[in-house]
Amino acid sequence: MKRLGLLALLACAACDPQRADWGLDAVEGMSTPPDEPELGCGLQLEPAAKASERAECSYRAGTHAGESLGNSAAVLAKVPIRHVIILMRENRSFDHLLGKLHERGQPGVEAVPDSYSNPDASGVAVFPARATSTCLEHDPGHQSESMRRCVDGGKMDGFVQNAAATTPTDGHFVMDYYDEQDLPFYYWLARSYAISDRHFAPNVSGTFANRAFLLFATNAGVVDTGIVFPPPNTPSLLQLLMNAGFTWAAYSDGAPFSGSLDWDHSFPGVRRLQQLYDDLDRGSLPNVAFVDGVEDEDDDHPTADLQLGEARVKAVYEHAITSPQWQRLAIFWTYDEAGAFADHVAPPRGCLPLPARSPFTELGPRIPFVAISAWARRNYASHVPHDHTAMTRFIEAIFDLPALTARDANSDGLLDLFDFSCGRELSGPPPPEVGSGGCARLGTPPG
Amino acid sequence: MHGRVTRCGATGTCLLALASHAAASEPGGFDSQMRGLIADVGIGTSGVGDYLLGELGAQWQGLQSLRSRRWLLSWDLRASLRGGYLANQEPYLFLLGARLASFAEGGYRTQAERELSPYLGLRLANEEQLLVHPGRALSEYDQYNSIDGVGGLLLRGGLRFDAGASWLTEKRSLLLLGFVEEAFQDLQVYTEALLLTQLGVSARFDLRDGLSASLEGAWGVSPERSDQLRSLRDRTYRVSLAGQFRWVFQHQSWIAANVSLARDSDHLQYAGGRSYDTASAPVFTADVSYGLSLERRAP
Repeated sequence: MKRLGLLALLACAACDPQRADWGLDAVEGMSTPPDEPELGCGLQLEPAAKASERAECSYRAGTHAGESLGNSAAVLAKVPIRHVIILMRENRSFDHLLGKLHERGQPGVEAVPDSYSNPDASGVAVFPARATSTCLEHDPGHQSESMRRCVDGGKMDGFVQNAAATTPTDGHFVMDYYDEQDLPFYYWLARSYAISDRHFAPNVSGTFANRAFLLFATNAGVVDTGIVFPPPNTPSLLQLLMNAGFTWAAYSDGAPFSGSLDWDHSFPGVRRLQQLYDDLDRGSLPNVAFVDGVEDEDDDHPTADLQLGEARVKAVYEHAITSPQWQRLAIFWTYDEAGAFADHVAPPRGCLPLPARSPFTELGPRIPFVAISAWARRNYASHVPHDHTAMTRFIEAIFDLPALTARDANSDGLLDLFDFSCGRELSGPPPPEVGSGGCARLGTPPG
Repeated sequence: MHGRVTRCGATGTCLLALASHAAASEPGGFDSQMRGLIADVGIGTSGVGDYLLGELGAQWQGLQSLRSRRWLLSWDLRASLRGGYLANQEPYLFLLGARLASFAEGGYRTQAERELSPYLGLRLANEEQLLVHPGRALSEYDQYNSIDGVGGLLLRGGLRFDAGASWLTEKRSLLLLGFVEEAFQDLQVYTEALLLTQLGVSARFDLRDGLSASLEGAWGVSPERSDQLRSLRDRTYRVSLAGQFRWVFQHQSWIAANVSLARDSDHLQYAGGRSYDTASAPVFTADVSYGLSLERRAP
C-alpha cells in the first residue's frame, strides 16, 4: 500500500496538475535546418515600403511579411540571418538607461529635453539626475494602473508621483539616468550597432502582458503581472516556427520568459544559459533563442545590479562574435517594459490585435532596443515607431511565417536596422569592460 | 446566442409547473424534498486564478415519484447572492452579484411495477451568474486580467438525455445512468462561446428525507472551430468528474458538499502545418452549504 501511495504521489507530481500543457514537446525532436551557405551580401531591401498601409493597420492576421513589408517573399528569403537571439531584459526605460547616449557617441537618438521634469507629490519639479547606484533599493509600481498614471495621457509626467505612491520614497529616483561611466558596455553597444529610439512597450502595463505580445501578438487576457497566464491554446510564434520546420529554445537560469508563461525547466525547449554559450561556440543555435535572466539578480529588474546584467549581456555578445554562426545571427537587446522609470516620449497607438480578443491599442513608454549583428547598421539610430511585435515580424519575415494578429501584421519588421550590402565590415568589434562598483556610490571606488 | 440561453433559463419556470404536481406525495411512492434558505462557501481553481466565494440564498431540491412510480422527477433550483474574491491579480478582485442555477429532469420508468426498472430521462439545466466589481462597468472588464469563467456575466445551459436503471422503493432511490448532453457556454470577455457534446455516466442514491449522494463523470468534445485568418482549426475536449453529498438532519436542516474537477484540452491543427495538443490547468471546485428548511414536518 505504501508503494502504491508513493507511486500515486510521484504520478501526481509528474503530471503537475496546477500547470497547463502547451503541447510543444515536438520541438525537442526537431533539428535546426542547416544554414544555406549561398546566402550572403548584396540584398537590397526597402524598409519604408508599405509604411503608410501599416500605419493605417491595413493588414490582418495571416498576412505574410512579403505583402505587408513591400519586399517579396523571394527577396526576404535571401536575408542571410537564420538565427535570432532575443535578449529581453527587465524594466528600464530608454531615458533611464541611456539618457546621455545623445552626448556619448550617438547624436542620432533624441536627447532628453532640458525642460523635461515631473512634479513630485508636493508639486516641485523633479528633473533628470545621474543615478548614484546601479542597485536600486526600490521597484516602483508598474502594472497597468501605475503605468497609466505615469503616462498621464501622453504628458509623461506621472512617474515621480507613481513611484512615491508605490514605494516608501519621495519617488525622485525614477527620474535618474545612467551615464557611460556607469554602464560602459551598454553604452558601447547602443552606439556601436543599430539602435531604435522609438521602441515602445506593446502595452501600458507590466512584464506578463508585454512579453505576451512578443509571443502571441496580443496580451491574451493578461493585463497585470502575477497570477494569470495566457491560455495554452493561444496561437503563438513558437507554433508558427515549428509549423515551418524551424526551431526555438528558451535559455535561462531562472524562469523561462521571466515567468510570463508559468514554465520551468521541465518544459520542452527550455535550456540553461550555459547551453546558449555552448550552442554559440559550436554553431548549433536554434533558429530563435529567447534569453532571460534570473529575476532580480542579473535580469536588470530592480533591485538587481545593472552591472551584473551588463556582464551577462557582454558574455552573450563575446560568444556571439566568435561563433561560427555570427554572420547568420541577429541579437535584439531590449527590455520587456519601462518598469515605471521616466521617459519623455509619449507612446503612440498600435493596431488592435484582432482576431485575438484584446482591447489594447495604447503602447507603453519607450525602452532601449538595439539590433546587434554582422549585418546591423553600425552607429545607426532608427526613429521608426514600433513595439515588441516588430521582433515577431522580423522572425516571420525571414522564415516566411504568417502574422499572428493585426498587431504584428502591421509592424515594420525592423528592416531599416540592417544593411546587407557587400563590402562592409562583418566582424564584431571587441567590447569594452563592463562597469564596476555600481552598488557602491557611482563615481567612487568600490568599497 | 443569448436567446438560446434564455430558453434554457426557463428551467425555473418548468420547475414551477412541476411544483403543482409535486406538492402531494403519491401513496407508496418516493418523495424527498428540501426547501429552505442556504449559506454556502466555496473555493476553486480556474484558468484565471483561485477564488473564494460565498452565497446566501434559497434552494429547492427534490426527487419524487409520480403515477405509481412510473415517473420520477428530480429538480434543484437555487437562487442566491454571491460574493468573494478572485485571485486574478493583486490585490485580489472583489466580486459581488447574483446567481441562478437549476435543473429539472423528468424520468420514465418503463417497468413501474417493479422496484428495479429501466429508466429514460430528459434533463434541462441552466446557470446564470453576474459577478461584478462594484464601481466598474461590465464594458471595462477587459482592463483587468481575464475573469472568464468566474466573474462578469456567465451563461451556461445543457440538455441531457439519460438512460439506465432505476431502483426505487418508498424509502430509497438509486439511479445508475449513462447520458448524452449538449452543453452550452456563452461568449465571455476573452473566451469564445463553447458548445460541448458530452458523454457520461452517473450514479445517484437518495434516502427519503435523509442522505443524497451522487457521482458523475463525463467526456465532451466541441465542434471544430475554424480560424480562417490563421489557417487554424481548434477543437476543445473536456473531462470532468463531480460529486455531491447531502445529509438531512432530524430537524429538517441539511448540510451539503459539492466537489468537481474538470480539465479542458484543445487540438489545434494548422493547415499544412503541425498539430498541437494543449491542456489548460485543471479546474477544481469545492463548496459546503448549510440549508435551513422553511417547513416543519411532523415526525
